Amino acid sequence: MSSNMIMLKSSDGASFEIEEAAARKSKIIANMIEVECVDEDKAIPLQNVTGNILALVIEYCNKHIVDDDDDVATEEASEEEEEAKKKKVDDWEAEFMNSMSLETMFELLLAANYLNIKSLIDLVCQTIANNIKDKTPEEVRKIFSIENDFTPEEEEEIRKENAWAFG
Amino acid sequence: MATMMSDLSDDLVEKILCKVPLISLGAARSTCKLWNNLSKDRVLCKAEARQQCLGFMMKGANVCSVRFDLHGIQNEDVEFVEPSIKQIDKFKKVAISQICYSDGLLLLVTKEEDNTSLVVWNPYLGQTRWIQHRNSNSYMYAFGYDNNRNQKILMIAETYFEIFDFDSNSWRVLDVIPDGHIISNHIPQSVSLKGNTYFIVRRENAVETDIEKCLLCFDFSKDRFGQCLSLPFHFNKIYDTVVLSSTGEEQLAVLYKPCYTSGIKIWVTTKIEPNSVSWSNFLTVDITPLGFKVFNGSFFIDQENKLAVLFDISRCKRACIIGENGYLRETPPHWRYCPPHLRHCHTWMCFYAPSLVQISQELELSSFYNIQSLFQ
Repeated sequence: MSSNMIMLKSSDGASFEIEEAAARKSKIIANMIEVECVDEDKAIPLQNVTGNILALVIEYCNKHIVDDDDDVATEEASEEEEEAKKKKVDDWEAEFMNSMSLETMFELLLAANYLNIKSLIDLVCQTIANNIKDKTPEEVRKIFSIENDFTPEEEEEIRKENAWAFG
Repeated sequence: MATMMSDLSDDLVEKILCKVPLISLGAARSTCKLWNNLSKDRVLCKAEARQQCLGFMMKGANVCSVRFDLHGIQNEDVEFVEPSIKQIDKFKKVAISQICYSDGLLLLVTKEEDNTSLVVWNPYLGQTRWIQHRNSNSYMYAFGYDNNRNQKILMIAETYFEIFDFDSNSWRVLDVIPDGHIISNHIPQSVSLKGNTYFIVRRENAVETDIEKCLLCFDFSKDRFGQCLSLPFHFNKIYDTVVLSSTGEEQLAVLYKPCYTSGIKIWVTTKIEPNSVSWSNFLTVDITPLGFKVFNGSFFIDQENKLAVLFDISRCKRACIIGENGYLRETPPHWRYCPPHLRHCHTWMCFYAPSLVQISQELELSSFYNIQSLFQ
């Protein structure tokens, strides 16, 4: 297995060394590697990602590259083992997202979107979405600093039209 | 400056809102105009907490939304989460006699004194369309769409058929002879799948006492019935129970319980087309421990967990859950989904998945003003 290392450079000038296999979690970086525009001596500049966010992205990729390798190695794994492994990943992800502020989540989402890492986009979206479910519109607006641009009549109309929804 | 929700593209906001469960749809839409507008041209809030079944059912003459949480139910220590059964206020003033479901749309048949109104409703989009039909208390309806996605309604009165085309806004007599007798009953004997409707029909053979049942498809693209399709069991007695159910938009399920025995069997289709079908065994359970021998009602299946929820209409309207290896659990009385004083409690039920299917609207709405004003 190749363990080529490549360098990534954040918008604020911080450099990070990362295994190529982990970096390939990002479709954008994987593409750059495919078309050989990665110079071994030079860091890939990521203009839209700050160092503290890039560190989180790399932590996520490193964790998941290990899991992907495991998958290949134990193709014959029993259902229980699979489940145990899945639980381990879920626990890790919950821990990873747990102490993050909403602001950091938005930045991480923008970075994951820019770097095109689908599983990370899903994870962050789900965590943000958990702040919406079981909340009133007023609470949701407060959490996300969203302005109420409805008139009371419009809001009442929408409430009525959606009153069927399995509450 | 802090990064906020407003810094995200609509595309990312949509990705977030997709992960909100459907029960929060109203709250999400009422948050701001952007979210409300996003929800009109894509399906948001489609994430469901796992093991939640969403659907619609009839409770007496009312239509209700239902939500069951079957999470961990196989474990005896897990308490039942009370299902949410919520009457739809929008249709509170009408008596409903039948509901059909097809691809995110519901067709509700109302019971009026001298004429029948049908209403097609897309709950997600909040669209409705009212259609009038003459006196037809005992008629049965089926609902579907053709290859071009034109919506249609089939009216069945024994051996007489009419079809309503949404685009032409008119009923016409349909000259078709199905290969069997369509059974109008208080338990589900028809289910919509990929635009077509499948019925359980009765065929009388040469020997008078020998009755068999088969599956028959009404193909809304051809406006014709298909040929008789075999069911995965041999139907014996007229009192045997046969019930259809759908499992989303891809498969049918059929339940069979021979009369005088307490064995229940459920199959799901592995392939289904208007003229061909194949089945695989889903569950076999002996319900003797529950102490009842008759089952008459409807059922839901949960494929992932290999479970089925049976709603019995004959026995105090109670429900039970059956599963693999003889798993049986009667639900507590608060699951009683029908008021005990109602003798007949129709239990047409359907799974629900939101869709953006537009209801073809007629151009002139004025003639239905009177009916519509009832529901303001």
